[in-house]
Amino acid sequence: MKTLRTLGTLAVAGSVLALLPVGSAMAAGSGDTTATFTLAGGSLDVAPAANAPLTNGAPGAASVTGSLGAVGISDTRGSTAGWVMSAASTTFVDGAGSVSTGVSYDSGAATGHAGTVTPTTGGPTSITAVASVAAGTAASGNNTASYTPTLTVSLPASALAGDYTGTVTTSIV
Amino acid sequence: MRRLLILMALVAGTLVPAAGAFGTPLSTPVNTARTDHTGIGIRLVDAPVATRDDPRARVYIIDHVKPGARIERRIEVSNDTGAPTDVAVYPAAAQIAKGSFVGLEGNTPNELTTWTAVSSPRLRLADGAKKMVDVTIDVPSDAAPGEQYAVLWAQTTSGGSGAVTQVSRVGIRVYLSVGPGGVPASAFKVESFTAERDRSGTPVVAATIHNTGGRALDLRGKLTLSGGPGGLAAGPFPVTLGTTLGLGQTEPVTVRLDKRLPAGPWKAHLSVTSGLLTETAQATLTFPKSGTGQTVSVDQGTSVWWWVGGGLLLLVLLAGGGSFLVRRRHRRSGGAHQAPRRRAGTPAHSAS
Repeated sequence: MKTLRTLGTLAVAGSVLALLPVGSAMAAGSGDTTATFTLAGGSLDVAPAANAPLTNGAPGAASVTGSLGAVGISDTRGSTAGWVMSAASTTFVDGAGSVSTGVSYDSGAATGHAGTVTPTTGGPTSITAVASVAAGTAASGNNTASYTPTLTVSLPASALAGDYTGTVTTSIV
Repeated sequence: MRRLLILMALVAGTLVPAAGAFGTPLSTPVNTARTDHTGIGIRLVDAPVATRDDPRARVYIIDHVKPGARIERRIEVSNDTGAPTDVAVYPAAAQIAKGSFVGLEGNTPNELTTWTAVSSPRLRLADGAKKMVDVTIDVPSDAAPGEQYAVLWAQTTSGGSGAVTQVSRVGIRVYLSVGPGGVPASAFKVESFTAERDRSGTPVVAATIHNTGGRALDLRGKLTLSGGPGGLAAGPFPVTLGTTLGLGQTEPVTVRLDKRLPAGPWKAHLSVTSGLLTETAQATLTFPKSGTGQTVSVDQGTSVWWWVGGGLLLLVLLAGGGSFLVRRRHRRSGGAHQAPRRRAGTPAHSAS
């Protein structure tokens, strides 16, 4: 009899759980289980860019610019997740010790895209601290996009003539 | 001469696409010779069974665990650059700001990244090679409750000469919530609508979305217009900006519409989704001749109440189950003579 009643309680509990939205049923299980299943989706890819030159500025120029070459994004995850492109830069220094005062990154409008995605651009953005510079929004299924960003390095008025070097990180997530 | 120049330009144009036409479907057969390398890639290989239905869990590592738990996942790093490549694989901190999920510079740590280990931090991949990497997140038993963000990066550094050294990286987001009990419920609401016109005269609907739940959200959505002048309907228009919302954050979401649409009034219907949760809101809008129109409050959808109701039901059930167990235990410890008499009076007995 006791067993019967326990079974009855369990059955009622089970049916109530089944009626709840899927999310809450999920909530009850997750955290206690490590069971996983294999996903069939593809990858998120970025075509790495090579070292890029900066234009030769005249001594005393306020800034130097350069094209960073093509950044290609390929999303074969087959989802609606979309992606965000962010960039960050170190300061640019020359051999004599002059240090840049700012770095701005302009992804420009997407130079091309395929699949269902709306590639957006954030326009010229300061990247001395990491910042989002472009995004693939309203994505659905596999998609690709490419940008040809431009870098503008601001120099101090006291800048010495020399070759400025620095590192720019472009991230897709 | 001029014709020759044009011809030369055209020929040059067909040669350029190697980089420029990445992703641009060209109909000319000349393009078949282009290199189709996608670069370095990263892929999430497995996800917990419990989150099978959640589309976000298929592309990101999303989990809620108790302190002391361990999460094991596999990721696959691939090289399709056309040359052998050194790839660094590492976790780094991330933040949600201004509606975007952004990984911080370099390998900036946070608590979550100090708990995370990858089996192969440095890879040398031949062209076309793939390598499986195990990721382990060991949450310490004294971990503070809350949600943390990180990215698992696959990174290469450019070679050659030039003033700018370029680091390219691609990653998988990690949203890890730590705390006792079940997953904190996700919830958000559409707070208001504003009809605007941008400088070019294109009508724009700006909606304010507030994350009121316990987890970060990745939003996508669409807007449809109906009941316009002469019974016109338009849309759906995709929501294009402001995709990720942190806890307690409020962000504007904008939807750009078609310039040819009449000013209204329209009945605007916005549907926003994050994972399995969808919220809808409606408002009546009229686009101003220029600038920003009046902000209109919305008629909220009812799906939040499903969650609240479901939660309450679960609580009642748990309380009922708990008291049943307590009673049973009490009965067992309270002598054999009393127990059968009490049982005989219960409704469960008469029902069976």
